[in-house]
Amino acid sequence: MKKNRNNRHSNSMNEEQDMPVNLEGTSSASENNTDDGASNSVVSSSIEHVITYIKTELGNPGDLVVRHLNLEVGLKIKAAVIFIDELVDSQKIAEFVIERLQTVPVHIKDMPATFGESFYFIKENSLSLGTVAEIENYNDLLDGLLAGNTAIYINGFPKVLMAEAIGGSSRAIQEPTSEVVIRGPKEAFTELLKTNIGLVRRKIRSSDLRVEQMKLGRVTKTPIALLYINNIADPKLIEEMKTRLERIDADSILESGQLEEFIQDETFTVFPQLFSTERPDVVAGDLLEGRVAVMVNGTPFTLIAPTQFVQFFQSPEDYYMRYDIGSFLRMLRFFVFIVSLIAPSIYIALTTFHQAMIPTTLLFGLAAQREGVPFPAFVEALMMEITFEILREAGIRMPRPVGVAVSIVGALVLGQAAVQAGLVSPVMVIVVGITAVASFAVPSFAVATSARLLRFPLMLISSIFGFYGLTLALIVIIAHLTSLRSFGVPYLSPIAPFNMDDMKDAFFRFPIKSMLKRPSLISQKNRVRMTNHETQKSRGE
Amino acid sequence: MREQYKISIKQYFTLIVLFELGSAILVGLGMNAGRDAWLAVLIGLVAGVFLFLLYIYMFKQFPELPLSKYLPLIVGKHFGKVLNMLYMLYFMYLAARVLRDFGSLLLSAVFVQTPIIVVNSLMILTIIYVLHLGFEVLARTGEIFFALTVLIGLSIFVLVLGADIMNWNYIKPIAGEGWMPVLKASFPVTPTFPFGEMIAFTMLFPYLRTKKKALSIGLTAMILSGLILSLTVAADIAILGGHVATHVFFPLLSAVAKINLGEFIQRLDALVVFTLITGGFFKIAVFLYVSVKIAQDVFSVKEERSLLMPLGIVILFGSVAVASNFVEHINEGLNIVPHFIHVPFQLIIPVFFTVIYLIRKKSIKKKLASGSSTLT
Repeated sequence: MKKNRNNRHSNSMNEEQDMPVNLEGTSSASENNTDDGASNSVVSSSIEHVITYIKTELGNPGDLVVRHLNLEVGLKIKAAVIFIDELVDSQKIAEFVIERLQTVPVHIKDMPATFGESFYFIKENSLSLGTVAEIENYNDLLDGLLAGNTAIYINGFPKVLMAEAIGGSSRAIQEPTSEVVIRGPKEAFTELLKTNIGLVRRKIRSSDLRVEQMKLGRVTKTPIALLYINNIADPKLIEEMKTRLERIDADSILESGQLEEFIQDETFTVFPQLFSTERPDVVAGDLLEGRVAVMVNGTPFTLIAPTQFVQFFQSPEDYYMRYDIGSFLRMLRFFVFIVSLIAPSIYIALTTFHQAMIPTTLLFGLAAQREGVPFPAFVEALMMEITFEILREAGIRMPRPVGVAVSIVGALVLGQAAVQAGLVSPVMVIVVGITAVASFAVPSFAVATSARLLRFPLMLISSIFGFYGLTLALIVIIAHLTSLRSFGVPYLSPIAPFNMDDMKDAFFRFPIKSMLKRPSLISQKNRVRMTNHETQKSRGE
Repeated sequence: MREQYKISIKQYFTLIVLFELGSAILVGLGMNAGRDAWLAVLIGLVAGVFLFLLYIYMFKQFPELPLSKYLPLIVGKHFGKVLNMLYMLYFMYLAARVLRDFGSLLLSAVFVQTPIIVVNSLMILTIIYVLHLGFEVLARTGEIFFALTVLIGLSIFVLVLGADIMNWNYIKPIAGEGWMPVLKASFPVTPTFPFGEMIAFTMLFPYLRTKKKALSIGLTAMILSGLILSLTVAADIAILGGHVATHVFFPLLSAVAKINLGEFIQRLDALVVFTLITGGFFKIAVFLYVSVKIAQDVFSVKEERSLLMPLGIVILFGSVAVASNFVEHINEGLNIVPHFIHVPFQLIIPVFFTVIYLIRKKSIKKKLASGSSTLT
């Protein structure tokens, strides 16, 4: 009888492999093991020892809750429910742990006779929670408690039950703030990893969607999830991502931006090498193209690799709207990026070196406006650009009510008054205004910031060398872009190296029916995305 | 050392076109032939194709080796080294000349008071930076700028048509004074510049991903650029008239400057200058890279990047030193360099080592086989 039960226990242990618990230890520990010295040693079988140990290790914190219980499960036993307040859902614990423990299931005749038996009895009969694991060393016990699990300890047996009733306050799923669309799903990721994985799973209900979890950060022990679709993503890419993640040895990973710096290919560049998004539909779309996603607990921003430069100009809306308007908007965004990058430089170059290119009447107008301005065009532009950067930063960091004041000061005092005072010419205000609006129209904040940074050196060089300097600087920027790689994929593909098939989804968004294949450099083996039965039929006829 | 990058067929094509158009589209090509200059360009193209066939023939004999590696095999180690150094200097000289072309262009068009060395050093520094990132980056950047150049070129062509400034009577009668003056004006200038300069690609053929297409794609690119050049020259003459076109330094610029659409689109020459800059950029970059490759073999340097800076600086100072003024520079370019520098390096020396190769074919093949077996 007892043997049977033991077999069952070992089976149930094997089934619970996805628990965050180390199951490698053997159950050879004797019942009177009282060694509570080293942290990875086996849990003591005395309730006092265990509680003292936890309290000393955690520094006897005020939010540690130890609830003592006297149970009668066949024999009288002392038990304790231990958890950290605010990390757990206390209602769940009251309802599904403590209440269940205190109600002895009378209909079961075969009551346990030893502490060990009652431990398994409780595990199987008295806990009505989905996830319950048994652990046997102090290390796992502390990690589990700090991750928000609830420990249930039965006096006299050197194991602890870990029930998952993670709770505490967290933000609800809300609309995305950085990637707004008019048509399309309105949900965004939250700070909770579990929720975020769930949001993606709800979009891709395939058994091939793989979620691999790990912990990063020696101190923070941040849960991280690696998502990919098994048959689509390149296995080499997954391996590469895993090795890069495992190579990280840092104190803390608090946001995916920190992780990004650890796993990106090239440090010295202004261009973002990993795409980050807070939209589940974007992640799902990218996974389906064969990319991998990395989620970090504590941030709604998910990283996607490998990244191509054109991705930053794609909005999920492109695919939800008709292809014609989608293509138009996409080209507009590329144009807008170029404007936000070089508009002030072109103005400087034109007014400083290439006046001949300005139509004569306009040139007279410009010259008349600039007459009272004491500075060269470069200084004028630099002043206005820096003023704008200050206003922008102030507008973001200020509390909302003050933000209005900032914009009034910015628009009226610095715009109009500066012109009237003869500090800048009205055309300069227009140029800076267009640049500013253009930089907000770039859909990705990350790539808009690289344009923001590059604007200043470009202004400088075009004030010294005109269009010649600007041309060479653009050659340098493009050459730099072509030299970048993100997880082995050329950053500027499919433009260079050029690929006709992939161009369908770069500057334009071709009709979905015509995009039969996945991006060639990303999903190398499984490339066919769909079969267009219409064209096949017409060919067959 | 990094693995040698393989050039894709598309990149090979775009590089040849950018290289051929580079500086040739800028200066009045074959203008000695007067209003028949466009014919001279076509004749040059035909003759240039034969030179290219010669280079391809030698490449077919040594599909794995660049010029600098098979020269010593054919003419012997020491003489080969001498020839290699001569070729290195030749390519550097050509790079310096192209750099001077563009420096002068910028000085005359935009930077009247800037010293030429400042303008040129900005260009050479950019080239060194891009080559420092690897030839791969240059080839890929070429793809992008090829597309941009085609776009701008087409729009300028449409603007020229729209502005209705061409008078095709200027190029008539075709070969009015007989064919002899045209042929006289063509040889040896137009076949050697720019078509014969394809000899620089003998250093790049082995790095092609699809070697079989070296001939067909190379020829297509050459013929395309030849036709573009001929059309441009014809358009220059049709816009400016035979007399003016042959006497200005940069006929293309003067022609484009005539565009005036609705008093709004005008003075496009400044814009054209910067499209041309990219062409010059790729031409100088190819010459610099090729000379670095030869220098790497001659001086047995492991890392090719370490040679970029020294050779680049020599080219920079060379570009200032090649001529004391622009008139002298252009005069040299049209009357001296083709006869005394291009012809030996593009025709005489290649024919010479091809003949030696044909004579000693068996022993060279044996040497190559034993050499490769000791290598592996």
